[in-house]
Formats: sequence, structure tokens, C-alpha cells
Amino acid sequence: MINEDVLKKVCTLSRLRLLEAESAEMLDQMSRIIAHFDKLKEVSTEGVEPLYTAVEMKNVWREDEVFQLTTPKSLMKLAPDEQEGQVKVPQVVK
Amino acid sequence: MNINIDEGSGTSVVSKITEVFSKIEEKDSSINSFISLHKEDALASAAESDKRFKSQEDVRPLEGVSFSIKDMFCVKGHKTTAGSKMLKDFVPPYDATVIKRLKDAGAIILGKANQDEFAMGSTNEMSYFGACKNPWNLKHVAGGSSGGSAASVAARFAKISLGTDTGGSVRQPAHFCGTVGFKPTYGRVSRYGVVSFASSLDQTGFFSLKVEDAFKVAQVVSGKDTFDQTTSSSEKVIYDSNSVDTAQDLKGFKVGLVKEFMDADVDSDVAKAMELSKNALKARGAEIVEVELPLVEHGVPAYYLIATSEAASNLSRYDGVRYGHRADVNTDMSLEEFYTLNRSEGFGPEVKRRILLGNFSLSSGYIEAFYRKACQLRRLMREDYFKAFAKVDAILAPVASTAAFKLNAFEGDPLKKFLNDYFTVTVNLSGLPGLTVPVQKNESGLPVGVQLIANQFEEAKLLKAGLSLEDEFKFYEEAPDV
Repeated sequence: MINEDVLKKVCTLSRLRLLEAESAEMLDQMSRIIAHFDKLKEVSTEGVEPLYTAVEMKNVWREDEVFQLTTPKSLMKLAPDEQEGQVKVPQVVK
Repeated sequence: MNINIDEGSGTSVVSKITEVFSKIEEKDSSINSFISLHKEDALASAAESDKRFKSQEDVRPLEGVSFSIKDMFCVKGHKTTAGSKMLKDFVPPYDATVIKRLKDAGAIILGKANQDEFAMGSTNEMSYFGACKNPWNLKHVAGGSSGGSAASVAARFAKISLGTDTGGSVRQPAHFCGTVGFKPTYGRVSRYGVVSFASSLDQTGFFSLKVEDAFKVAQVVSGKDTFDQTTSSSEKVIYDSNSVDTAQDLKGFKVGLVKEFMDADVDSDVAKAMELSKNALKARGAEIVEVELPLVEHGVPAYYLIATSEAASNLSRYDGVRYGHRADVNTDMSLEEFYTLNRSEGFGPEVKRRILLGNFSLSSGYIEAFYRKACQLRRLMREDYFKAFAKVDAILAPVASTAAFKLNAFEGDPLKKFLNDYFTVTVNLSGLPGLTVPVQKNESGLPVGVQLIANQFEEAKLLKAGLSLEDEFKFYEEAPDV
């Protein structure tokens, strides 16, 4: 089930880093939670179609219309770091 | 369909709202139900309401009614934090659809209500802005995740509050704080502009002191929205005046008691509230019928698998690039390290735990046994509810096994906390509407409520049965000493 290596892999997938002390506690908590999840195995669900959303709905179509929700400037205001109207991040290509 | 505004003693909306803010400023520091206040905008809206009242022209359905808004809803120009460090400075440049509809209806937004971070939690202790306390006893939690919403209504700060209910986050804090808590059918209210947690489960809900008020507001803000393709176009109304007129006559109305819920281990105050509610409904002519939900014990694991999987996916958007928390970065850092640092600093422990659980159950080798299995169970559980609703109009159930927890009751034991959601999560898995109605205080002076559940789009039945219970218990007459 879950062990230190699996937790490390899941942390990488999640783009999360845990401190060493956090990691031990997280592993312990997740192990207990996953053991509880594992009880679902007791129920036979063979041939049951998974249900992803509870209220039946059909695909919805509408005309693709252009409208102005907000301005690029007001969105750029949200950026933590910005230069000349561009969002700034660490160097990508070295 | 107007809502009676009875806050304060003033005659104008402006004077009433001014009085409300004085009360909040004086009393909320011990409760912590608000993360931010919108005093200037609220008073400007109040002045508009006064104008319309005075001229009697264009008076709107929610004219002058005060609202607190869970900090999950985007309100243009005001911080929308989701209770997280990640979004502590996020100011949306647009209104959520439901906020726009409230504003258009003449509502007054007082400010943003406290909550567990990204709505993940059932105690409001997971807020970056500190726990929200229970107005009935400050040593107890307000519940969660919409704790600030429930507390602000219980403390008589806001007339109505908007919350979100993904697994019980409206119904449970309502039970803990002694308010009405109403979660409509999935898809009734647009999710556009509401911070996403688990998209197939998230639904906006309403807190009020009177049952009718929650349904009236839901009626005003619900309905199709082109910005949210999951909004429903059901013609069945939420607020049905016929339900109101006939609420005291439940002849022919069948109320189900779920065998598995009745066998569950609950505190004596919860059992008492159930007994009193059953008798009240019976006395008004309802027939009590036993129904079964044989898979309900698997509700909590199925719910947490689905909710964490959807959350892991939804929260992958927070990378600190275009908005949200950004760490102090050095230029040598790779982009991957940059994302990781921003996320590790920006998210609190509960959110991290759920992202990790979600990505675990979605990862290759586990997805069949966990996520897919949970979705199969979801279908079977919904079938069980549909079978029950072929026999009954509404189900009467506990909301939680206890009244409000003491602060820090679950430290270090998240599984124990998850298991407390037993009575609420299957309602979300099945897309059903649910309603908490407060019943009475227990021996320690904490409120205890009960839950009514109906079939999809049958909110009118909840209104009817809810009004019957309200008529019996009149809990709105009781106020905490804040």
C-alpha cells in the first residue's frame, strides 16, 4: 500500500514538499486513511458503470460569442511578479 | 416574495446596516466569523436600497437583506481567500454568478465569512485566518467548513449567509450553531466564480434563522447559467408557496427513517432530537416508514476518495505563476522547484493531505481499486436512495452524531474527523437536496438539529417538512448571548 517511497512519488506528482517530521506524520495518517478506503473492496461492484456526476445531464451547446469579461490589465494585476505586461518566472531555458 | 428585514431598530436600511457593523466590530473578535468586512460598499448598497424603498420604484426581491458570504465566492474588488495563505491577497476582477444575482436582487454584502481552507474540514479550525468559534459556547467549534457563515447568522450579524456544501459543509455547521442550513440539489446554483474543491459534489447552500428565508434566496439565485454547464434547467421550483400554505398538514406525506442511520451510535441529545422530530411530523399527519440504505457505511470512504481525487485535480492550478502565493525565489531555481515551493508554502496541512490522498488514488496501479471503485459505489448508493424515494417523500436523519465538538478535539486524527461525516456525505454523492432544521439545545446549551433529505429537485418537499418542524420547535426564538 503506501510507504515512504510511494509517498515521495506522490509528493513529486503533487508538486509538494514535506519536511522530514511532517513526512512521518503524513505517512502514518495516510496509511490509516487508505486502510479505511480499502474496505470498499468488500463490496462487489462487478459490471457496475462508474458514476461521475450524480445529476443526469446532457451536453450543453451554445453559440461561441466574444464578450469582454475583464481586461488583460486587471488580470495582470494579480500576477505576483510582472515585467512589461508579462508574468515573470525563474529562467526556463538555460 | 420579499424577506422581512428586521435587523436593528433604525428605520432606514443605512441605519440598520450601520448598526450591524457596530455589532460585528464589537463582538466578532471573540467569534472570528468574518475574514473581511465590506463596510463602504455595504453602506453604498444600503443607500441604493433606501432610495428604491422611498420611491417605491424598482424594489428588488432581496432589497436591503444583509448577507455574509463564505470566502469561496468571488466578489469583485474584494479579497477572496478560500481561507488559505495561497489566496490571501487574491482580489478577483469579477463577481461569481450567484454574487451578481444577489447584488441585482438588492442584497447587502457585509463581508466574507471564515471557513476551513479550501472548504476542507468540518471544524473551521483549518482556516489560515484562525478558527471560528461557536457563538453558543466559545470553547466549541462552529463546525465546518462553512463555520463563519453559520456563526455569523447564529450571532445575528447577517440575516442570510452563503456557504458551500461538498460533503455536509452547510448542514453540519448549521446543526452546530442552531441555524437553518439548506443545500439544494446539485446543479441548482451556478458554481461559476466559486473556488472549486470537488466539482461533482460542490453546491452552494444557504444559512438563515427561518426555513422560508433560505428557500426564498435559493429561488432568487438558482437556475441556468451559461458559464456553468452543470446548472440545471429543472422547472420544479425551490420555493413553492403551496408547500408553505400546506405545511401544517402532512396527511399523505411519507417520512422515511433509514434503518442504518437509526442503528448508528449517536449521542443521547441527537437521539432525542430525532425522536421529537419524528413525533412532530407524525402529529401533523405524516406517515413514518422505515427505509434501507444498505451501502451507507461505505459512504465515507467513497466520498473521501472522490472528493480528494477531484480536489487534487482542481488544486493543481495553484502554482504561484499568474496569481496566488509566490515564495521568495532565487533565479537558479528550476520551474519545477518553483511550483513546489509556492505550493508547499501556500497550502496548509489538511489541503496537502487531501491533495496527496487524491493523487495517490488517481495514480497508476491504484486508480482501479480506489477512484473507479468509489465511483461504482456512488452509482449503487444513488440507486438505494432512488429506491427509498419511491416509497417516501422525505427522509429524516441526524446531521452528525454529536453536538458541536470542543476546539482541538481531533488533533492528529484526521480519520476520526472524516468518520463524523457519516450522515451527510451520501447526500452529496447522490446529488440530493438536504436541510438542517434546529430542534433544541442540549444540557450543555449547545444546539442540536436534524436533517431532512429529499429526492433530486424535490426541494419543495423539504420546505414543507422543514416548516412543520420549525413550527414545532421555533428555535429561531433562541439567540446566543454574544
